[in-house]
Amino acid sequence: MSTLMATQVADRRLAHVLSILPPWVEEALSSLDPRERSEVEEIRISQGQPLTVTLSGGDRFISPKAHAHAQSQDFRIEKHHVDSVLDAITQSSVYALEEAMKEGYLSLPGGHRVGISGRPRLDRGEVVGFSCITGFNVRINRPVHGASRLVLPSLMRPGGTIYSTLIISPPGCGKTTLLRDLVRTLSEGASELGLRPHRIGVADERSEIAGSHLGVPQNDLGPRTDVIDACPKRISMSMLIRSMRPDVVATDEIGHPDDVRAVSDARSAGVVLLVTAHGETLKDLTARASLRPLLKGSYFGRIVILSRRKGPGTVERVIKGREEL
Amino acid sequence: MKAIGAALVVAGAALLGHLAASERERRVRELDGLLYGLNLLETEVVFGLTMLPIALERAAQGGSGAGALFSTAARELRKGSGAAKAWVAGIRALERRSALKEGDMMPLLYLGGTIGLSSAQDQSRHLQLARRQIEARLEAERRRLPQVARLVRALGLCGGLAAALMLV
Repeated sequence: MSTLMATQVADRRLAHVLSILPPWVEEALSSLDPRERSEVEEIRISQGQPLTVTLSGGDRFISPKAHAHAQSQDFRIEKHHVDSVLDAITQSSVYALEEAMKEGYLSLPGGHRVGISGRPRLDRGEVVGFSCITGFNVRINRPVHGASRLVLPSLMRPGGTIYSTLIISPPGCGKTTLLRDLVRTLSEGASELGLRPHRIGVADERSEIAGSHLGVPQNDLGPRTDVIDACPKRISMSMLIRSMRPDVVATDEIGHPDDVRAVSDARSAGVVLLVTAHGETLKDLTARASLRPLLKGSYFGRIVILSRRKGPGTVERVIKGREEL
Repeated sequence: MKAIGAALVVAGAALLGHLAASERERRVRELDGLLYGLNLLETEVVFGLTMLPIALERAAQGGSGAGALFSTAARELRKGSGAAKAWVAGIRALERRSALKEGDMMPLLYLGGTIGLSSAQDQSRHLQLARRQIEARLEAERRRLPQVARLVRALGLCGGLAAALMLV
């Protein structure tokens, strides 16, 4: 995709998010130049804090025009700003989205995501809602078609399929973007690489891979992909394997002992796995007791380590896992 | 000629009395319709977890007699107004064409600050509170209505007769 086209697509996505948010946010972002607009990754709106946009080069404070006389870092988000965002992203229907909000985020049409901060209401140690909401982190959904092209050849095994793969990186380094593109490419197949089309099951507990809104995937995950949205991985992975007969099961951010058990069960069922986990190095993962069994077992044929060194999605290393050894 | 004039005065005054009484009767019907509409809204919000614009549209289509409130609020929400602003626009639309008094609108105005923006349980509490307050006003009006309507009609007629006598 040319730079100009990529900028236009990015701008369209941002415009879509801004059409959902209250007008004062769009007014504030109008101070960005077109290049900066195409780089917006997140918009942070937190009571008492400046309005912050995260660009690929770092954070920037901005303010609505009404406050332009003041320095942008002097502008502070007030309660009415937060309320207006809540009103807009929920279409004034907090009660209808409470179940999703318990997870700490909301999915918007277009697959964009809004993280929520504030004071959760607890009942027997479980979050049952929010007694007050004080901030949002709006993450612009930017699926990158072709994000997996560079790494894909090193994940392939003879017979036109791929190894079970674990993708590791700290947050914001493009794990989910890579996973999403791998899913799409595997689902479509890539004859030029000798990759045959696969049936994929996506266990999308946090609605990040498919970006589902009200259960409907908003991202293109290919023609042979089934998604179970907003359901614990342990349950959705087993449902997918039992009912959808996938060749590959993909899931994001494993870490809980239950996830590890689900991964182990899926491998025993003979499906190929594509999973991600937070961490900077393999050592970080082995230090986490819950993930140690995964690395010790022969679950993965490839381990991909990502960083932001040359921008999000920089492939640092592809390690051969025990599955192949 | 005088007799005709007097008869016209009496008929006009009686008609005014009748209209005033009808207005009181209309208020009772509208309070009743408003309760029905709020009940429909509560069902959609609390049990159906229907998104507010759709819930308001369904309440408007329910034939509650307070359709202007719900349909205007739904329309405003669709235009991108916040819930509070949309609800107040609905109240203003209802006011324009109804016999309801300012006090009847107060429970609705209070509801404007919370509608849509809290848990289903909380929404239920607020909607029920508004309904209870309107119910109390409806009951009071229902109790008074037969006497007041008779009184207003009689006053109209008697006023007309008195005026006619003075003219003659």
